[in-house]
Amino acid sequence: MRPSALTSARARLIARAGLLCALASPAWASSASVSFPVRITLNQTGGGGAGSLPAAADPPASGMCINQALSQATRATVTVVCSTNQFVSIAPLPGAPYIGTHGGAYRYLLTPATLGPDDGPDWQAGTGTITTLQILHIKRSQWDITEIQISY
Amino acid sequence: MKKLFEGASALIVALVATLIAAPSLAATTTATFPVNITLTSACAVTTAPGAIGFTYTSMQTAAATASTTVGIECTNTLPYSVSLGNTTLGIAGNGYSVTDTATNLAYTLTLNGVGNDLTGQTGNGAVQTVTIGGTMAANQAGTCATATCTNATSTNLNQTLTITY
Repeated sequence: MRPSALTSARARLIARAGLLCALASPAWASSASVSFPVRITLNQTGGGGAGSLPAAADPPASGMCINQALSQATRATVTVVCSTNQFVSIAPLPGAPYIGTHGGAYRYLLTPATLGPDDGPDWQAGTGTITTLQILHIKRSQWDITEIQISY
Repeated sequence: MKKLFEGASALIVALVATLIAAPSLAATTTATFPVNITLTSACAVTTAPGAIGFTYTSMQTAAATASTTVGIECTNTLPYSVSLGNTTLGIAGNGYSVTDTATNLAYTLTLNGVGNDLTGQTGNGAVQTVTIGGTMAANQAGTCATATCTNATSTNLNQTLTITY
């Protein structure tokens, strides 16, 4: 393409763009703006119902968690996501009973077999729409506690 | 003789009165002149929107709502539109979605409950009120290292409402 033709094509393109702009926004269009704040107060809910936890050398970190993927099927994986971005997945162990039954409400049953090899943990588990699982590892110098509470 | 004198006096008085009342040289002329008016149409915010305030508890099971209003006055018959955010070309029917940078909580703003853009509005010379509604969905965790956090340091604390006319 000759330079003169190129210049002409460019001029036509610019003219069309200008025409489009003129059509898109009327020459008299004007605007006024005002801003406003959106204020947020975020509260954390209270403790997790630990109640009678033994004193620990280092208080365990705590945070609120919520289920991320709740399957309608039995023997499914439930992923729990916490506000600290940490998460846990409660999945059935191969060959081990992990029973999730649901009818009018979601019910969970956590059994000792879910905990894996018996390395001497104490445990408390319940069933129902609110289920708490507490695992206590007794070591020489401190308590090592894991507690999971699921409620629906 | 006396009657003749009285009659002449009356005639003179009448003549003088006539001369005073209607000069023979009286005439009128008129001229017209235009009163040119140039009206520049405009819209103005007569009542600035107040703050929208959400109080939210992590993973709460119900959505949180909040609202405020803004007063807008436009020239009579002037078409105008109102939109949220920094754009004047919102998508009708969709709310304006924001994720707060401090608390990491998402919320949606709407105008009169119909979306982030109110098109086809017409000024009537009086104040017209638009409601800015906010909804924060349930089951959000948010980010907060203490028992209570606010978004005072958020970089998107302030939102913009734009009137185009």
